[in-house]
Amino acid sequence: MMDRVLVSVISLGVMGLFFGLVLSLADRTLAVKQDERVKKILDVLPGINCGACGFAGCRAFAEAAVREKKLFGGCIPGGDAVNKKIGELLGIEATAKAPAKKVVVLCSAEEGSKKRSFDWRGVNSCLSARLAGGIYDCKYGCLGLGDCVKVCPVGALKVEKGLVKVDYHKCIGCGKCVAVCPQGVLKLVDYTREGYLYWVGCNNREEAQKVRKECAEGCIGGGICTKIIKDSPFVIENNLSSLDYEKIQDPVSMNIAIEKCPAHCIKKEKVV
Amino acid sequence: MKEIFLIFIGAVLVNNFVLSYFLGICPFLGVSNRLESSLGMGMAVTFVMSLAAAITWLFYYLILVRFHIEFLEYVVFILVIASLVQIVEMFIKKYSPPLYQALGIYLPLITTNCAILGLALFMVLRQYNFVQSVIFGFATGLGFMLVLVAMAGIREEMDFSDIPAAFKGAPIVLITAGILALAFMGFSGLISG
Repeated sequence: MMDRVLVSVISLGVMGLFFGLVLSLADRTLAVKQDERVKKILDVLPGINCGACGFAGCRAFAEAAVREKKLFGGCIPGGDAVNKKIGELLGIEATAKAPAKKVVVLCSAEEGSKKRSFDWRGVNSCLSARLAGGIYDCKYGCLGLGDCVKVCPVGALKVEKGLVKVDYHKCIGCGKCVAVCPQGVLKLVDYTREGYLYWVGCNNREEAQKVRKECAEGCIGGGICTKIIKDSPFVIENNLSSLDYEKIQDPVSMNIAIEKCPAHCIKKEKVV
Repeated sequence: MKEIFLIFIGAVLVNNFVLSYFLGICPFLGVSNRLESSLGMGMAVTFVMSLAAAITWLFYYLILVRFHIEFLEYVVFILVIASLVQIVEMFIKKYSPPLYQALGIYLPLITTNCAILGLALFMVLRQYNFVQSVIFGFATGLGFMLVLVAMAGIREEMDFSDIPAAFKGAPIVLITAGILALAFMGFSGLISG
């Protein structure tokens, strides 16, 4: 009995030692030098692996930045400060300015404003609710089951009264929520130089009469916003107003459009 | 010769590790989204499997059987396979960084891949000799690669098709894998006749 224990311990030990030696030898001969700047850049980056830069994570971004000596789109959550530091580390000018984007909710109807078609007792996910045909009469709006909340890396989203709300102090504009929203009510948009975020808080593409029946907050596509100000950035398409973000004007004329919208669909938020 | 041929066909098609034993599902689902990386992964697995079959055979019969400590086979196999995969990983990292990038996390996953441990255990169970074991390992790897590449091809096509949102991603892949497994059942009568 003792023999077997001894034999197994010794043979396993010898095998372990053998493989350990082979591995350490391989580590020596097959070592790959890693650029130390990658580690330095990683220290600067926020490290939340949001993927907004278009790479798989902070490490992938750092490696690509070192390899090609480029900032690509830059780190969006990190902002200018981080990108400047990375630029210094790489010895290049941080010209790539991170786009100033935040997510907006193209629906402003809370529970009560939008009519429920039926109670949802299925899996607690917008994806499955959509498969079943939605919960509300309006088939375009926010389902409020919070698929986006689950993927937000910074906890900027929450669902209140059947509608998702964005905490703009926290939102980093990574766009993860946009990718998972089955309704397409989330959109990543630019905010203005003055730090204002404008959007049309509706996604309903039905005609005015139907919209009115389904929801108290819906855009009826009347087009006042397209006429009330000169060179209006608003466009009506499929009975729904949307913003052309390249044509957004000064706060004064934007305010006119906001006031004159009969459905109170145009939203404005100070985000910076 | 006939026996080796039977082992080969058996491992590639009839008793395919992925689709009839359901071993190695993790890399099968994880790396089958791009044809290129699935081919790389398939080759890495084939390579590791052939090597692992040879080396585990040697260790099993020259050490474990000789000292009558066959009960250690699990520990020893895992040790051998893990070390082997580590070496392969270092090798790929050094000589083919793009492949290393493409394989990502799945390369270390070969370490604990049940398909490879299963291979070593089947090899002992069926009492293959050295040549048969190596052929068995190689064929199993090829079978794995075949299924992986077939799946990757299907998934690349699927990217262009209109799948209901709730089925996108993992669900449709699992359904496809199930149908693929059903199709592979058709091979079950291939050898017996």
